[in-house]
Amino acid sequence: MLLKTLLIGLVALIGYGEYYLTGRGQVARPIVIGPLTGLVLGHLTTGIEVGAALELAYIGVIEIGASVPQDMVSSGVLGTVFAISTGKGISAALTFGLPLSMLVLLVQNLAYVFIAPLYVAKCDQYAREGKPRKLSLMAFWGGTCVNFVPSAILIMLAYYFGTGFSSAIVGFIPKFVQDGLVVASGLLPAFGFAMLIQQILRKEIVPYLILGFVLAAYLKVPIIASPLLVW
Amino acid sequence: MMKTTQTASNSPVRRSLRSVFWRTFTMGASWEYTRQMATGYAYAMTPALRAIYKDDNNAMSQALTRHMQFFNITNVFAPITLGTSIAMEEENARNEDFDPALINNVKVSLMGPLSAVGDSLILTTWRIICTGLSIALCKAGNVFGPILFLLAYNVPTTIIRYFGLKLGYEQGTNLMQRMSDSNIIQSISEKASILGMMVVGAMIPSYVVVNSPITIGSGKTAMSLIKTLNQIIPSLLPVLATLAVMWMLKKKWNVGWILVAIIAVSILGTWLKILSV
Repeated sequence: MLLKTLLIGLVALIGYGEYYLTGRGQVARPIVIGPLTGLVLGHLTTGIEVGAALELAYIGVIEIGASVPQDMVSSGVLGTVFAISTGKGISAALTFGLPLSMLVLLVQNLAYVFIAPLYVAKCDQYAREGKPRKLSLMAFWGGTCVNFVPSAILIMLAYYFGTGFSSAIVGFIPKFVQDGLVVASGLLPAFGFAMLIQQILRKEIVPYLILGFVLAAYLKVPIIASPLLVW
Repeated sequence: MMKTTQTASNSPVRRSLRSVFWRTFTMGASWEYTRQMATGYAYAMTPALRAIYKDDNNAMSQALTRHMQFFNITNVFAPITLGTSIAMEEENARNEDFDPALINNVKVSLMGPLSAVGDSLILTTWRIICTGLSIALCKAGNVFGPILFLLAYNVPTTIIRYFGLKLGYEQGTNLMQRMSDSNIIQSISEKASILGMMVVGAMIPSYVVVNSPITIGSGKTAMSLIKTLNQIIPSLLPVLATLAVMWMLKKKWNVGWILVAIIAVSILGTWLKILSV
């Protein structure tokens, strides 16, 4: 359990590597985090599947500029953890993953707002003194430790204390609620696609949206083939 | 820029570009709300600044302070601005009459247009295309799904990063002029958003799932509502669901409440036996 907790922490740190290690290499997305979490827990295939389902629900969530709408890493890690530990798949991923990731986001924002200015002030001081080496170290390590390590620790705590607890709660949830959550997992991609369309929609390209839809829905053209066909 | 002022291919500054390139991957560590990417920018500039100003503490301090000013850009395009900043810092060290205020002015003028293209083209459109490419494999539990996703996204963006830095450094201030003269970025971005729209359109019928246990008629002639609907208009319900969420977004509903509403409707619908797994 302790080893797995540490490995879960490592997965979280890889996920946050989105920002401090990969230059937005999309490693925070559930499509990547799900499989990694599944691998740690010994259920790789389930991890990939849950990751794919969560990815579709969150496909419209994009961090642009200063807005952080959702903490991708914690919802991906914890969603997959509870999907596997309760054996309830995506419905458990939503029941436990969503509220816990909101909590992680809150802590993350507190760190951003109250603690981050401290290392920035230190970097300002090193800049004034003309000390590039110290500035580099403070920027990288200060940033990483303040912005991401607390969230990774929270995720480890949620895993360590939450797994047994969540299985007990799941036992009390009525069947129709559990089924309803599976129904929700089918509907949530609509939320993802709607957010996406809202963001990139322009009048001129609406026909292509419809064309893509028609090709897939009526002619059953595979998703990737359809744009290539028209290209 | 005249050929004679170009630096030799093995100059210390040019060699420092390699470290700058690697630092563009890690510069996001120090992002924070007030000055956003500023600290990361100074961090990424450091190897080049050391090559340019060496032991000149005063100049180094001025340069570092300069790059600690507010900045933000889509990460993949940061190397382009870094390249121009490095070329200009080099000019600043060489030329007494150079106005260093220009360095930040150019940075800021590149920030807006590059971020606008970067956020919509790279972070949104290109990512969706990669998701569309790999999601079927992932749904089937195939381990190559996530690997394909990562490679499809990161190989092109790494190439953009590498050549962006080179281009920014070699073109220096000319870059801005060139970018506004040609509309190559706009045309790529237009084509990519068309591709992205088609992928989204194709994913709706494949991945939004709405099922209902309701049947029409009774006894032996009873027909599933969903099957009947699909014979008339395939995937009507997924489209309606997507349109409903778009309407909520348009009405500026809070995103969290939309999620809650979807989950509530699903549970209620299942309880009333209108919806089913």
